[in-house]
Amino acid sequence: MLKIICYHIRHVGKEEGINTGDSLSIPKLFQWLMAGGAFLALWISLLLGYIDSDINDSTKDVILFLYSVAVIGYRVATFNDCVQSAEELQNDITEAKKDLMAKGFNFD
Amino acid sequence: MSGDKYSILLPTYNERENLPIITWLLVKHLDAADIDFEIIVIDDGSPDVAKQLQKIYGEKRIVLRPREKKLGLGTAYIHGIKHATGNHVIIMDADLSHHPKFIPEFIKKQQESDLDIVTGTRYVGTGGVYGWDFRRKLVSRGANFLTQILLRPGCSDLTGSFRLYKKPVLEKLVKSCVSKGYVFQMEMIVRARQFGYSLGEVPISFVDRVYGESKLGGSEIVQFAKGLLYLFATT
Repeated sequence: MLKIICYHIRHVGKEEGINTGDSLSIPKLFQWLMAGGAFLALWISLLLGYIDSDINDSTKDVILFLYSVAVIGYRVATFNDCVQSAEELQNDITEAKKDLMAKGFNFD
Repeated sequence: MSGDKYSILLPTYNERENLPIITWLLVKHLDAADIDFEIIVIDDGSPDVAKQLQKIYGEKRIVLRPREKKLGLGTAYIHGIKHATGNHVIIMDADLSHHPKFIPEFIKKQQESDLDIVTGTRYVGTGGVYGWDFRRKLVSRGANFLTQILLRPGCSDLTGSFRLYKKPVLEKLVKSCVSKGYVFQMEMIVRARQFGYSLGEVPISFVDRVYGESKLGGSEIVQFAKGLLYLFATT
């Protein structure tokens, strides 16, 4: 299938005067469409059992595990530390106490 | 002003020190945004503090509704809703981990598309936490990841408790939720999805000042796991 797409791009590209050259310069859009399409096709066929994969279940577990670790790791690393909010709150508390006392509030 | 009124429920347990501060901050930020509101204090621990505040801000703004005995969060909400005169209800923690400055954003978000629920989220955009170490962040993110996969709730922060509800929506949800603690907040959102309520999110910063006291221990994790399984099996 990939061959067909490449062939198509090469020839259509020539017809439309796009320089495909020897290194086959595929537009970014097509690169994404190809990679995305290939991934989806593989994914769906695996999911629905159209193709027999020689990936056994324990390998799938490892893949799922690695995926989870990657996602959770990334999210922990990018979890915002709201230092500014904490400082702001400290200032708010001081200001609130001052103002409340001026209004006659009795802190005990 | 739009004619909307917001009832803020503060179920407090021994928040003698924080209650005056949170009240002051609420008045400051909501007045600045020209929002009509009342604060309903459901407290049994510090009636003297609440009475002083009432004297300063008036009985219309500070409503005292102590309960006879300490009950769960769900019953605190039911108790508070009964006395709420607003058409929207905001629930938040009174320990200053939720800052009132976000409420005008909640309200704006709600009004944009007439949402049933707006919830604060620590996990998206500018949202975040303060005072959490690596372990706490890991547990939180891990639990959240698992929840997202199992329940697909369409909400990034299920265990948060800084939310705005339309009053009838909250009434219905509280009545149909049976869980306690963290899981109660989760169940509220999952059931809301079941009933087809619309939901929006606002990034919030969660400043944990009492870390150490409210450590996430083993029993909390077990309780969370049980709750997750319960919701996974029943919704």
